[in-house]
Amino acid sequence: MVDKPGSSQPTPPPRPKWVKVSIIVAVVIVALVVVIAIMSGGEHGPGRHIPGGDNPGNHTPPVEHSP
Amino acid sequence: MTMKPGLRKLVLSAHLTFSIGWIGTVVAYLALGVLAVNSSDTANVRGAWMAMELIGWYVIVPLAVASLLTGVVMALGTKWGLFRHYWVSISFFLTLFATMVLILHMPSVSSTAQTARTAEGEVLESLGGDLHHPAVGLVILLVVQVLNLYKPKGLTRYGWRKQQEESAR
Repeated sequence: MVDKPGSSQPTPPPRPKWVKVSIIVAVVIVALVVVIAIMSGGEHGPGRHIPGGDNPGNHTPPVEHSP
Repeated sequence: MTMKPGLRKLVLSAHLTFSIGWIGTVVAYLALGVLAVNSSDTANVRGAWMAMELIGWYVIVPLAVASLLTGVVMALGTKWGLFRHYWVSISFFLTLFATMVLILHMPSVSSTAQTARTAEGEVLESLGGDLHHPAVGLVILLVVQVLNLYKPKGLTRYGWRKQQEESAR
């Protein structure tokens, strides 16, 4: 197929504005989560409260707390 | 391949039931998490963690998987397709992300629930709740719900190419 002079090739529509805004918001949120995770020592989830950490197979006896 | 209207309505009903059910049970899970954080009664904390483990594995995970699968069937079985429109693709990836995080997170919940069964005193009080994951999950599910309701316009490059091919026939 030969393009006629002056004929324009159909081009895909530009990315909608709401998608661009959503991508920016998502990147900001992910960056915030990463920063918070790094600042908190990389630990998250309920397992952090358990002696032995987040690993379900890594149970250690409870640590005795001094009053 | 487009589904017939009767089948489409059946799959849509199932998808709505699973999706709304998922949101509802996440709210119930959050309520249990708040109870575990705020209650000074050890029986409440223990009961909350056991209930969170139970509804997590036996209600939330099945609803999440069912919602994801019926969503994919709905997309592929209708004119929308899975990757033709931005709102469908974004909904799919958010649902997939939420389901994967949920399944990866649940062993940690089981581990804490196991500790709650036998722990006493300070150890039990220090367990706290599980609020961050369900709260973020709830926000993601609400975003997906809004996308599915409003269906904002916007063809992906793949969707545009497919549309061009179909209109050329």
